[in-house]
Amino acid sequence: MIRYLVKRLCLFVPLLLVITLLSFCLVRIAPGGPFDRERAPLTPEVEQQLKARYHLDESLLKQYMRFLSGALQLDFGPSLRYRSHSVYEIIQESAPVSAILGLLAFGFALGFGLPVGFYTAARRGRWQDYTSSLIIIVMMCTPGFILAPILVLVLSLKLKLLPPALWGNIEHVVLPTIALGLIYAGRVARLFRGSLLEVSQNEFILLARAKGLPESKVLLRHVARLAILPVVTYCGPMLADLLTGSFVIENIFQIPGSGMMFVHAALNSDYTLVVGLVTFYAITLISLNLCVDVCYAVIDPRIRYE
Amino acid sequence: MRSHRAAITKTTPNLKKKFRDRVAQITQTFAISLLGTLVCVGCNFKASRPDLVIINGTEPESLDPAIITGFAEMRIAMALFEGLARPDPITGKPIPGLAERWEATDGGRVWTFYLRTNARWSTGEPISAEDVRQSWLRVLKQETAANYAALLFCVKGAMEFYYGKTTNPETVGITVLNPTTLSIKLTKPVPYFLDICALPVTSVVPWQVIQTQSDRWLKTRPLPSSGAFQLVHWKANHSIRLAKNPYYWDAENTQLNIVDILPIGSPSTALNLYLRGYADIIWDKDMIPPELLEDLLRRPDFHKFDYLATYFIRFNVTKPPFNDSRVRKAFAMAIDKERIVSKITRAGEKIANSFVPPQTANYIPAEGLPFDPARARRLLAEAGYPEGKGFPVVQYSFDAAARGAAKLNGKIAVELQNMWQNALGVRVELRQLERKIFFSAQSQLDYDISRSSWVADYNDPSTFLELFTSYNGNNRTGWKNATYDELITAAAVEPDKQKRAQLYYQAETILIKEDPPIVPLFYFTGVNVFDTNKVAGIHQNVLDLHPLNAIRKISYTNTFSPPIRKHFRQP
Amino acid sequence: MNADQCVSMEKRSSLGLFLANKPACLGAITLAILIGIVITWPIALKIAPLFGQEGQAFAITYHPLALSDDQFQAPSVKHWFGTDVHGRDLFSRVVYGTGISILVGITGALISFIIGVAWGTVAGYAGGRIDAIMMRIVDVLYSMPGIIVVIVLVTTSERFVGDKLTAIIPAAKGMTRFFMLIIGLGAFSWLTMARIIRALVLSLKNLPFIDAAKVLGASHSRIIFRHIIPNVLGVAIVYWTLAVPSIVLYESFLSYLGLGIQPPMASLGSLIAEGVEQINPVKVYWWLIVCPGAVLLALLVSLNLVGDASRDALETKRLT
Repeated sequence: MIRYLVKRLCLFVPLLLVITLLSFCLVRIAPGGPFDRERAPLTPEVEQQLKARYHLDESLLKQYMRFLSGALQLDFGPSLRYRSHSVYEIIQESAPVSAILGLLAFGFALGFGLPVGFYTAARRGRWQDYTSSLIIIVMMCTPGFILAPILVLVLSLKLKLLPPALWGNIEHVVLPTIALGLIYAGRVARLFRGSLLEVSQNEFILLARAKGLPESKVLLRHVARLAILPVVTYCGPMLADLLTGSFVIENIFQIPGSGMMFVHAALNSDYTLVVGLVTFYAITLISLNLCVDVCYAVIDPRIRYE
Repeated sequence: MRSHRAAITKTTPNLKKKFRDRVAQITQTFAISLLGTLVCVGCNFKASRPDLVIINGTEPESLDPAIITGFAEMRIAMALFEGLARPDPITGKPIPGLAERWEATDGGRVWTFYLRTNARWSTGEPISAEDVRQSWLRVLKQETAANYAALLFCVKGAMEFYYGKTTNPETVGITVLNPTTLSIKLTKPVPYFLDICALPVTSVVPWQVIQTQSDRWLKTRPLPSSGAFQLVHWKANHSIRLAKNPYYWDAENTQLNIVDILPIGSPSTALNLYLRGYADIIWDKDMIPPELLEDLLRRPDFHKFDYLATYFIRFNVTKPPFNDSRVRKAFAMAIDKERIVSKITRAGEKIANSFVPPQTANYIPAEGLPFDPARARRLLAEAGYPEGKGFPVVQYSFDAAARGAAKLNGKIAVELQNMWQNALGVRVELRQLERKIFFSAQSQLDYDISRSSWVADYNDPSTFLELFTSYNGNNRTGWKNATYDELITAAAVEPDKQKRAQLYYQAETILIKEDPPIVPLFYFTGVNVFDTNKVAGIHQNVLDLHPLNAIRKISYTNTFSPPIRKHFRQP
Repeated sequence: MNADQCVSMEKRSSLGLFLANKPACLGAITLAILIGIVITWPIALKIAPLFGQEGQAFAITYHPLALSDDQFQAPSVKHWFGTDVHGRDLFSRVVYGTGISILVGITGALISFIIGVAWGTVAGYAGGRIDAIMMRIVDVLYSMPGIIVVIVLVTTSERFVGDKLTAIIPAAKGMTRFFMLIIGLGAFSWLTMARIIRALVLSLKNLPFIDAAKVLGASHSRIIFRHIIPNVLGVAIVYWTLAVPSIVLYESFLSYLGLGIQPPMASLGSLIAEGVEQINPVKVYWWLIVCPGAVLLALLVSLNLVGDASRDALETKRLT
């Protein structure tokens, strides 16, 4: 176990370096610098000054070295577009927002998906099974950017129940969470249902049924604990997907999270912010994957890692 | 049977137990972390409600008054920092700000400003004339990278100081006579000098903080501000919160205590927030979906006004075929401007006969080229392309965003393409570029025709006409006309108002009629969105300047409006 | 499942198992209808002018790029899905957009198919150290923030790649973004495929008929191409059908953000984005979201149903 962890951690650092170098180079190739606008700077000297101040006139390698040494001290430089904010501050302010949104959507996905999957499996073979299976498939395929505007239109603009955008209060949380989480709720439901059905083929469940317990009790007491395993393994990729899924939701609801920052930065050629955010995402995802693998090993003692 | 049962229970218990325990452990930790998140969610959300919520357009790039160029940034910077003069809330003209009075002597070449004795920073210290001087000098230093430094070149010695010919700040004509009196010497009398004194570039900034913090000075808390408001927090792409500056000289007339400024990117979200009561004001016309403008303008809370900005197209005169002025004139006269404003922009814009909007002060409107397709065809034939035969395929470049009001550029482009095809028989291709690339292409003269716009920096024709002198960096057409340059230079030093207006008239006639590198299409109209029953103190003026401290809330019901219960209505 | 059912399952072919799954059949029919419309509509528009005046008018009204003055018309007999902000017929735009989304999905999945099969086969067949290294690379790539890298790649290198591409194939002007999306999206979806193919090849490698081929003196490439790959193809195709909806979803996600397909080309994602801009309580142009949204939903649901059913059929077949 420890050896496995150490091996994975050893790969962590070169992977991070590769990702940051890649995004660094890509962002530099992009045309259109961050200083072009309708009113050009007065003289070419001023533009030169700005470039010198942000070290954009040095060679690529030098800039990357500078970036690395800064990164080790958590200083990714100022954002080129929002020059009074440093990249670290922007990430610091926006990451918690995205994290909260992501965790709430995660909770919603499990809290809504598990019962639905359970209900479908309990009513297996009857009409409720077919209709709810269909509903699950539709849930699974409804991306956030279709659901969100419809939710906003109906719940916020027509029925005037909730705010249409922004972040800051409990009431702001509802629509984004549902819009983000529904597609994962569908996947969780389907996974759980399939797993429940598979586990209930086992012999000891046959025994429970022979005892005369109703189907739902059988499922709840005996099957669910085992069936939850695939859902737990899906949690890792789900969290990773939630991170990227938040881009669109934050865009629609104008939520000041790191997803919105990333999209803006990519569209504005804000070099430092893009590289900073990619580094942040890479670290987050790699650690998530590591945690998930460890969790999986902890849960299932049959798994052995070479 | 019994042994079978025993066999089952014997082999599986430990494994099952381990599974159970571990799953239970994981579920417990998950439940606790979710609970913790919910608690954080609750704590994270602040309860203090602002007095006014304003949707300001896009996120400001900076709040440093010396370097900002966009309107969205200027509105906030003007609330935080004040200069010697400030704009009048009703007319937009300069009235006393930090200076309570001034005197112009020596034919307008020497100005003496008397500062208010009760002028203070938001941290309590008095604002002195030295603060003003240092703020002006800062703009003239190249490392500040001030975009409007050229506006201060009317001050004696400023240009030399800026270009580094001298490093002694004493040579610049700004002198401190005593802690509350400042004297500024100009190279020549400038009729719009007071307008410049009301601009953010000349406002008073905390130069000592800037010296120690350099780029990060806007992050110091508390940030000393000289204007009516101080900065509480500035979260990128989230909100900017301003609070009343209790030490401001006019603090007793400032009614608002807390103002939230929201940078919303999408027009429909901005509109929805306003219509649901989550925002009180929308400043920017770009924040209103253009397709709905016609209908929305019928509502009383959508206030339309003209302001000093022109939409025009530029020709690249350095390459054929547009190096021939007959071709340019032909293209100009083939454009039906009425159709563009009535079919596409539809916000009630007026078509532009001159480059400078007619409401500009000290100005006589010049006459441009009319819509005359027959004459256009004759000119094109004269230039060697009868009925468009042999005319090379040229490109019309424009910037477009996926959303927002910049979409209009694309629609106008398609219209123009049609007009030139139908009237002249020439083929024009459309070249859509992403914003940054568009501006850099324009600067490098990498285009044939391109769309443009210009907003007045101050209320005087020179802000428009100086653009096309051969030495102006914003010319971006390659057009050089010696007579034009002479006329503009002469007008800049002409003390007599009438003669000056005449000179500008002559220059503009060259610009838009005789040898035009541009074709003005229409003047922008602006829209301010606010309910006069809830918000007062906003008056439409041509500069679109609405000082924040003049605004008052009449009623305080802004954040949550309960749903209207339809079934309570009488049958 | 009782004994009789088990026996009858053995007797059925994979196709039979697939057809027994009613929702999957529905999905397959929907898919066939969608693809049918996507192929025939542009042809109809092209040949309509041959039918005289009325045909001409038809072709012009329904052309996806034809601007007109009737903006924001609700769905009617003339415009089945209504019109959009520029007066373009929405039905036409949705059909063309669906075509582009499907094309991106299929070709992107094809790229992941090719890379995945190649990688998995080589890793599984070679075994030992090469296998370990290749799978380690797959593990490492799994933790890369895939779509983020695609976004950065697409927004930054488009100009660069476009110039090189137009130099080689002049007709490909304007298609750069399309190509980059296909390659980018395909390049980060091949990982699961590789793992599955590798597991399959590992089990195939030890079967007697491979040994027989080796004894007869067949070279490695002959064994791979003649014996292993044909057996692997079935599974690979099933996983390819599963990859298509996920790529279609990613592509619409990117197009929604403005980072995917650029105008004048439209995909379902960008059409939905245009619709979302129009959300406001003053004038509800619901058809701008509901029509492309419903089509996207139908596409994804049917792709998922078909993919799942074929995977189930395959696994049941393999188990029995």
